[in-house]
Amino acid sequence: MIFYFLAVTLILSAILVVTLKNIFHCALFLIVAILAIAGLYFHLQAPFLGVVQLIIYIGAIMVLILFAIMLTSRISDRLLQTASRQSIPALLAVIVFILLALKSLDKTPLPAHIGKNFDPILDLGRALMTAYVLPFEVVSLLLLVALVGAIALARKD
Amino acid sequence: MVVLIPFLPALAFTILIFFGFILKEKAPWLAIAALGGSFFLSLQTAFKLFPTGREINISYPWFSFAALSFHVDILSGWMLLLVSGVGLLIVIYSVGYMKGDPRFARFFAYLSLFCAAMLGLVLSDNLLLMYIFWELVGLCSYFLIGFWFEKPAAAAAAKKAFIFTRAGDIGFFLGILLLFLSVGSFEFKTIFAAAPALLPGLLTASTLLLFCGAVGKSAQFPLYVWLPDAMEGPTPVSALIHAATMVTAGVYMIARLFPLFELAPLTLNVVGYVGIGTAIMAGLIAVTQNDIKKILAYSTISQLGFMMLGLGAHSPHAGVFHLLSHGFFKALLFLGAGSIIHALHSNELADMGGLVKAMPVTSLTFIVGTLALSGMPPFAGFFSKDEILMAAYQRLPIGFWLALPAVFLTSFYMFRLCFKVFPGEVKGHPHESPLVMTAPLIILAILACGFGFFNPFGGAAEEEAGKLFVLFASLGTAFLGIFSAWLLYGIKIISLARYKQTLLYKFVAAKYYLDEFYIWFVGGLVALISRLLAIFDQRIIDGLVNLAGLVTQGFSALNRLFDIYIVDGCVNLAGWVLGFSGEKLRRLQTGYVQNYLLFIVIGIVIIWIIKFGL
Amino acid sequence: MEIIVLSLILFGIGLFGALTRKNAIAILMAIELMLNAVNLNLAYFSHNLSNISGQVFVLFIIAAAAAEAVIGLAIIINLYREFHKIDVEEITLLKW
Repeated sequence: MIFYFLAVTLILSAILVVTLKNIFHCALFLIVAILAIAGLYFHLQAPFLGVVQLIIYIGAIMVLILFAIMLTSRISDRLLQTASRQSIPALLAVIVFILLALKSLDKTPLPAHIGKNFDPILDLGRALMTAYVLPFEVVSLLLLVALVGAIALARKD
Repeated sequence: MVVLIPFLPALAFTILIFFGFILKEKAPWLAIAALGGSFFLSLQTAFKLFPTGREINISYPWFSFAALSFHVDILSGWMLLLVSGVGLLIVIYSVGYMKGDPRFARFFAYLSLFCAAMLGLVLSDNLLLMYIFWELVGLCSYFLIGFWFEKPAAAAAAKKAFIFTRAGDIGFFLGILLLFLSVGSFEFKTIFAAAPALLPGLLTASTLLLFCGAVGKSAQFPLYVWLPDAMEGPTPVSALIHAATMVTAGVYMIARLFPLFELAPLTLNVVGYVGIGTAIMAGLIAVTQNDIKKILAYSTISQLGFMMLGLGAHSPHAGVFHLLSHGFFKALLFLGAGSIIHALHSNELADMGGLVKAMPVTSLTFIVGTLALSGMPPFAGFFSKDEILMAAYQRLPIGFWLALPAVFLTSFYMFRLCFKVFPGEVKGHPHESPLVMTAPLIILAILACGFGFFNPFGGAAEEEAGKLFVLFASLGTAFLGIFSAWLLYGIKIISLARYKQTLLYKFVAAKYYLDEFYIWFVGGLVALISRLLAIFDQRIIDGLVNLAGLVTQGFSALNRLFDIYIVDGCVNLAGWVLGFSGEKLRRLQTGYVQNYLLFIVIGIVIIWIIKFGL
Repeated sequence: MEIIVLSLILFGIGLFGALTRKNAIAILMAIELMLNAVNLNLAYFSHNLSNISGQVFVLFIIAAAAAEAVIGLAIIINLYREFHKIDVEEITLLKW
């Protein structure tokens, strides 16, 4: 039940994100969508992901986007033009894409749910520090580079 | 071992020509050492061969049709001794004669090269090899006649010698080719073996052509005009090349190929008559000359004529015997003349006189040479000339009777020379030459005295019909010549001054106008042929060339059209297609990011469809 | 199963937005939607297969998304300084 509630919320808010004319409203509905996804994570027994989703997306990325919106204009009060030259081809391409994906999904035998009990947080931490320690470190490097790059790009002069 | 004989001087040449400027005054010692080595080896070979009569044959593979083959028998053995021995003496003499010359070392380099080539010629056992050395000695002769090329006369004489011998060499070469075509080999032995089977006409033609080479090289009528001019070279060169060795190459060649010539009696008659004719003509000219070297040059021509007579009389041994003895005494005479010239710095008889007191050694040796040349017993010339006359008497009687005047002329002009030069008042300030020059003179004088006693081929020892008659006839005419010369120039009781105005004398003194004839006839002929060729060239060759040009032009015009319309058209089409499609396709580059993204999505969809189907 | 379809629809919506929105920030937000759709998918499979690797990848993708957002926004701000607009249809410097 919760799942369907979350799903409907997610899809509706997502549609609003890509269609609304006011960019500020778009951002707000994106927050709603992200919250819904975080809820889905909890539902999928991945509480750590849910928490991370809340902290990083809501706490960091969305704040960043809102700052950007406010920095880049007087656009917050100006309405966006939503009609695009390629709306129809884009819509067609996306529909065909989804149909194709559904068809292949239909053909693919999905594995049955294995109800193995595991402690998601403990296992996640162990996995990060053992099997995935090198990607983990690389990610930290990526973030450092992104940090330095952002500063370099946004610096005035 | 034998191959080393020509190789040593060749090595000396190589060193001298490249490092002569370092050796400078020491250069001759290298040449002397090389030639001494050659002489020693020749002696060794001779001692090994002569008692047994064996032959040495050496052959290295060379071309498929010719080998580097060498051959030593008694004939070539004696020639080796002559060339290396006289060469050695003359190189020693040159040390004194050429002292202070700016190209001192190079002179010895050329002499070494000449000796190497001449020794090679003597040794070669095949026509091709012989021809190569034949031309090489001609080349050395050119270098050495023109050694003082600053003198225009010397340069001209070098060219003249080269061209005239070349004229004969053309015949020689054609003869070689003719023989090669008919026999298929250059080797002497193969040719001799195959010769009897050849057509007589072919044999006569090829031998006559070979004789042409001898005519050029050995200065026979009508090509002898180069030899007197060749006296422009240094005197040792005249002695070595133009008296003792190179000019006798023709005689040697015929003697070497005598088995072939023997089969062509007509050629032998030609050889004999040309020889004796040359002997008389050259002897007559010698009487009129006043240049000591010129007299000796004409004397050489005359003696070469005698050798040819000997060959023509079917006696190669007589011819070569005379060649050897002549080689010794004529080298002696030339070196003596060189000694006189060295002392007086003049070639003219008028500048000489009373030399017997001033230059006793030179004078005495010169007189020995003169006696030998005149055929006085017991000197070498007597024996060899006697043998030629004997052969001629038996087999070429007309030649014999013509030879008697030539004998007379020989002794006459030589004693004319002697009577003018040696007795009487001393003119100028002559002085005796240094030992390095007189020593070779003495050695050669001894050879000129003694050589006649050992006839190299052991020929005419047996009693033959008419031997005494021939002996007395030749001695008588020779004495007559000496006596006439004594009357005219010794005690001067008869004067010939008034005869100097006669037409005949002028004709002879002008050397029969042969040079002028060559200039007029050959020059005129060449000019005529050139004119004809020029017309041919202008009308036909130029016509053809122009035609070819026109054809090419026409073809080029067609090509041009093809180029412009087809080739350029294709290229332009390709360019246009690319330009057009580029013009159209660049509309894809909208610069609009989402457009690109759409293309990516469509692309993914298409790939997906292609890959997995709908 | 439903979650896969859900994430597919979410991805399609995000893609549509990325293809049609004109504001660069809106495009960025659409891309965030697509990333989340992928994350959702991964989390579902992780749960379904009881394999923790899926969640690890979700974490990495979140980190990459954060980096992407930072850089993207920095670029957008630069664009704005340069052109005083962030409308991608009008910023077509890479045109022919």
